[in-house]
Amino acid sequence: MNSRTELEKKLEKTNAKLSAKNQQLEAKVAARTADLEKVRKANLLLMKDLKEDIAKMQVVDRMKTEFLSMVSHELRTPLTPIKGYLALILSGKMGKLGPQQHQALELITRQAEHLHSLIDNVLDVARLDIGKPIPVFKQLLSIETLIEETAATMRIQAGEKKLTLSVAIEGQIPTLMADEIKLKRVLANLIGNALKFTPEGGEITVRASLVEGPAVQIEVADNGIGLAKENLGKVFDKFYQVDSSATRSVGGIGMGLPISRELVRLHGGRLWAESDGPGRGSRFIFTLPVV
Amino acid sequence: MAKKILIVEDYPVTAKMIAEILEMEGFEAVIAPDGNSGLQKAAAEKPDLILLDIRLPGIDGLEVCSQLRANPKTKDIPVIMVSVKTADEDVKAGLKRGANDYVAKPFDPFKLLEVVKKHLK
Repeated sequence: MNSRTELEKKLEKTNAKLSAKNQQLEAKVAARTADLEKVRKANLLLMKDLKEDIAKMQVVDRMKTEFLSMVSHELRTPLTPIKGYLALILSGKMGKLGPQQHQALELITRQAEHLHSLIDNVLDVARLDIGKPIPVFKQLLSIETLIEETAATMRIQAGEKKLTLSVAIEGQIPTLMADEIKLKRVLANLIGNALKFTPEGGEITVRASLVEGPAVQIEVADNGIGLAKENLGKVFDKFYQVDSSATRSVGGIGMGLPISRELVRLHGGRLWAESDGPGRGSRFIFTLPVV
Repeated sequence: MAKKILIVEDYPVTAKMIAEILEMEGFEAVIAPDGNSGLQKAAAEKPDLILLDIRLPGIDGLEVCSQLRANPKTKDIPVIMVSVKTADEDVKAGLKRGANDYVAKPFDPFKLLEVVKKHLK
């Protein structure tokens, strides 16, 4: 009997200890849970902040692009009467022009063309940024004529800098389905760069040939300042400017090449740069698949 | 009698320039600076052709085009859209609303004349 009560007492004691321990444990768990809950809440807040930041950044990004697109539309508006009146005066329909006046007006026209292409580049960058497709109007096109026409408009600039700009059409080049205005811009960008980065007396050659694929390959080669190996890819980055005193004097906004690459891509082709190193000229080459 | 052309264009210098080219070629030019006056003048002046900008204050060029086509008085007048909006979808939208042709700004005035003459025949 005695031993049984003792046993019972022991059991009770152990039970009491156990429940005390249990309570302690529960309190600990509760405290830990509360801590975790605090951390979770803090994380949630952080996440909310981050989400808000991202949303804000997206809004700013969209605003920036919309602004760019709006600005380039606004910039084009006054260009319409400027170019229109220039063409009218140059046609002689508004009165006879002296040779000097004619020459000055032709200079202004070229500057207006240049301004127009800069604005178009800004608009295309804005489109690329929002992922809006750049519209392409393809039609049957003679690459030979395209090169000859573009080179002809740039020969005056080449002459001013005493540069030779020659065209070499190798073999028979098939006609292609392509967007004339866009490809003219690509060529004008590449030839324009060659003009910028080739010192007086240099040579620029635009070469067209048929390569495997089949594809038409067009190369704009110069014997100008050339490119270091590590810059061959970088020149296609948006807003990239070669860091040299030469670039500062030639100007530009660093959008010609990225846009050109995109325009070539829209035709299913590829645009890349080659150079034998600084001071040894560059070659900008693009392909257009023959379909 | 000189053919009459209505220019719906909100940028005054551009409107004046287009009018001057047309007048040089012996056309009569009428200018409307916004969509509403464009619609009014189209009905009242009965032009032989309409040059229509897309970006206009008030009702835009696309809506003007739809309303021109819905009005029996103006539904057969050739409409040429003239706008800086050169995106493919804008061209399609204009032609879908019943425009006959499209010229992108900035344009060569002689090319615009060619298009105008083509649609007057």
